[in-house]
Amino acid sequence: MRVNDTQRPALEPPEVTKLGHLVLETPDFDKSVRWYMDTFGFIPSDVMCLPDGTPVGAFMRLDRGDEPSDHHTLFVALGLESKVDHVAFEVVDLDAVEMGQQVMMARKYRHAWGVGRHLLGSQIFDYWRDPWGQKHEHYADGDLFDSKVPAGYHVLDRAGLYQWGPDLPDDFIDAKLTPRRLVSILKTAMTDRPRLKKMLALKSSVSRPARPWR
Amino acid sequence: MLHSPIVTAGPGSVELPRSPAPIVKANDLLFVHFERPDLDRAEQYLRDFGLIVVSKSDKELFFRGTGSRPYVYRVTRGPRARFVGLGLSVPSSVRAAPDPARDSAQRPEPDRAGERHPASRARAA
Repeated sequence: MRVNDTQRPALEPPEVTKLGHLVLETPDFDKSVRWYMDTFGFIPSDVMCLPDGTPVGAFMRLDRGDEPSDHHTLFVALGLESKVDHVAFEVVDLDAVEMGQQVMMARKYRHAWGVGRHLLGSQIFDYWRDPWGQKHEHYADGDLFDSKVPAGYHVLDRAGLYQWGPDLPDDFIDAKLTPRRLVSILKTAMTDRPRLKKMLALKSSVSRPARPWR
Repeated sequence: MLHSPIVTAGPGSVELPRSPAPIVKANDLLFVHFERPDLDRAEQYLRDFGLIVVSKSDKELFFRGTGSRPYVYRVTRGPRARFVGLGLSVPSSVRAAPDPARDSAQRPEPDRAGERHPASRARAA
C-alpha cells in the first residue's frame, strides 16, 4: 500500500537469489527415485500417481531435520528418456517474475509457460527456453517444509499442475515424436509392456483439459 | 497434506517410503552443469535471465546468483547441447575420501566419476 508514492519495478533482468530445483525425467522411475532417496537422503514431499495409485512422479526435498527446506529440490518423473525437463531459479517476488518476463519477451526468447502459481510447492512460475530449447524457470514464493511433514499423494493430471495462470501449453512437455523417441517407444513396447502401459496412462491423464471451460 | 494411512486404492495405496538409512543426507543444491556448442549465446541468455558471470574462459562459463554460493550454473563448450550434471552439498563430517579401488572397478571413466548415473548425474561437492 502506498500513499503519495508509486510502484515502478525496473525493466531489467531479475535478481536470481538461488538455484532452486531440477526436474528430471527417467524411463525407470522406481529405480531412479529410490537411488536419490537411498543415496542422498531425499524425502518425498508430494507424490504424483496414476489413478490406480502407481507413483509416476515425486517432488522430493532435502532432509535438513528441523531446518525448513524447499518443497522440492528434485522432481523425478517417469518419461521416455533420461533428461532434464527444466532447471529453476528463485527470484525475489512476483514483480521480479513479471519484469523478468518483460525482459525475456523483449529479447525474443521462446516462452514455455507462465505466469501462474503451481499447486504442489505453491511457487509463482514463469518458464523460458534457452537457445537450445532447455526450459529455465523463474519462481518466487514457494513452500518450505521441515522433515516432519509426511508425503502427500495425488492423481497426476493437468489441472493439478497449477492454481492460476494460463493452461499448460501442449508443447511444454516435449513429446514430439523424433526418430530417437519412436525407437525408444517401440523398444519399450516390445520389451516392457507394464512400463508402456504406465506411460500411456500418464499421457492420457495429462491430456484431459485442466479446466471445465477449456 | 496428510494422507490417510489406510488407502487401499488410488493415490496413496502405493507408498514411496523414505529411505531408512541413506548413505548421506545432502543439505543443499549447489549447481547445474550444461554443455553448449556456443558459449556467447549461452552467456547472453543467462545474463538476460538474471545470472551474473563470475568466471569466463574460451572453454567455460561460471555464473552465480545473489546468494552465498560461488556459482550456481556452469557451462562447458562442447559439440552438443546436453546436461552434464548437478552438484549437491553434503555435511563435511561425512565427506568420504574417494576409494580408488572401488571407483576403478565400478566406473568406466574414473576421471568423470560421480557424474555418471542413468537418470541424471549427481555429484557430491
